[in-house]
Amino acid sequence: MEVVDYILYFKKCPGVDDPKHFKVGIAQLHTARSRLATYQNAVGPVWTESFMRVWIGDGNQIKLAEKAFKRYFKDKISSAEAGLSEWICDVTLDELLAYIDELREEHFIKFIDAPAQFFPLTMPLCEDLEEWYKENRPAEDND
Amino acid sequence: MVTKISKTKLKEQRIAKYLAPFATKFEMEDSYIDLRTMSENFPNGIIPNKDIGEAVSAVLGASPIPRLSVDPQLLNVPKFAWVAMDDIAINPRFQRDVMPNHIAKIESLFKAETIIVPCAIKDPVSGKYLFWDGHHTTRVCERQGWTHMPCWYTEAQIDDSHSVEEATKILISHAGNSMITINKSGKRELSLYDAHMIGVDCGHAEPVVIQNICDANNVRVRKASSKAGDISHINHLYGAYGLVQSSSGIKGIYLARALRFCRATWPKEIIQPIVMFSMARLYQHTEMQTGVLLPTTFDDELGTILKKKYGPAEVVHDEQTGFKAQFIQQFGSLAGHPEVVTSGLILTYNKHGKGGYKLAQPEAVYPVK
Repeated sequence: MEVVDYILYFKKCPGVDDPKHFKVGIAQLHTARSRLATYQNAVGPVWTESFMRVWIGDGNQIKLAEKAFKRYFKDKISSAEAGLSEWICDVTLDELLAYIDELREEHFIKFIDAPAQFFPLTMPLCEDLEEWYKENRPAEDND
Repeated sequence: MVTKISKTKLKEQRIAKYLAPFATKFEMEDSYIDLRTMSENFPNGIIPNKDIGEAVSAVLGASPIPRLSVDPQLLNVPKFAWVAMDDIAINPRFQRDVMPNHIAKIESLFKAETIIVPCAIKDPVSGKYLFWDGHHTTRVCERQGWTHMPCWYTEAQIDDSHSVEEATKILISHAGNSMITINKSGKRELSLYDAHMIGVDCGHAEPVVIQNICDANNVRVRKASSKAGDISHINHLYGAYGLVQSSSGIKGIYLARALRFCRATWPKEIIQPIVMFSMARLYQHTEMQTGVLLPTTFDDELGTILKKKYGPAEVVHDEQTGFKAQFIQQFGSLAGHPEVVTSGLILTYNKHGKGGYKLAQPEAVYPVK
């Protein structure tokens, strides 16, 4: 079965400098640009939509990471309503990043950091990120 | 402008408001309200009827008719009677055929104090009680020598606007619809989870032993798994328990080992039932074929290999990149999950293990990571 590359991303509301609420979402690496375009369409020309932080891995692992986020921060998700169920509220970026470490070290979920040069990930950078991953995809460990 | 609040949001608000006063919070979903956890909020674990009713209304919305506003004793239905055996009859238009083998089955379980009260309509012409539910129970009671049956029954409404024939027709329709409703559309089978928990609380041997094994390994049996160490697949739990150690004739040894393996390897995860069950099978097959119960050093080594190759337990067996995917890749379609996953575990150890443990023959051979 073909493995599809996915990203896990953190997003804040555009224009907010000191965010307390974050959207933790996933998208196919190949369609990350159009995902951003969808968000951009909603905010118009005043703000630029972007993903603050991004991780990459195979879809299977990234979907598990998203599921684990939703479960761990269940009490911080204020509503199951469409458009709100992926927003984790009243947390700090550091708390979310600490959980990323936990997913790797204690849940053994496999994904890699997108390099800092792509942060924040905006639409024009998506293609470059995809190229970067093609060249830097972790080799299958077959020893 | 008035902002309309969605039904989803309204439900969330109702549930949050309802849960607020409780010290121990509990799950409230459309599919279940966790009464076992809810009961921890009440003295002696007894939940008053009113509180459950309010919980249901928090999920569903207010009841269509105000609580305690109707006295059913003033309605025509249902009435209760002890009915003489010979006043009971059956109208096959709203009953299924009688099944002697089913009677034999429930006869072996018969306890006078546990029978459910049958339901009937009272035929206005013959005066007989026509049972539409509890017929097989009645047959057993008759075979136990009972003179009477307890019975909930409905009588025909015969008045100026209903002739005897019309009233009888209405009654028969009522009985047929009720029979279908309780036996088909309204039937809610006892879940394996509920059967297990009730068995534990009532001191039944097998559920108690399984629960003890779970407790000893810090595993919680849940209706739905959400926290580290939770397991909700009761079939695989009992399946692993049922694997008998041939040398001792004892059950439960492999379940304990497999639970310990899962908790030690993935301590932050829910138990993946198929991985746990397949590990129990691996231990059993290996001991049967080699005479050796694998030591815990084997667990450490295999656990490390699985985490390195796959990561989380869920990925070990899945159909995207796990054993099932690799099996499908080789054979074109999936076989029985325990056979596929047990084989995958054995093949993976045989490929990467350095400890030299001799394992059982895999039931299927396919390339693994």
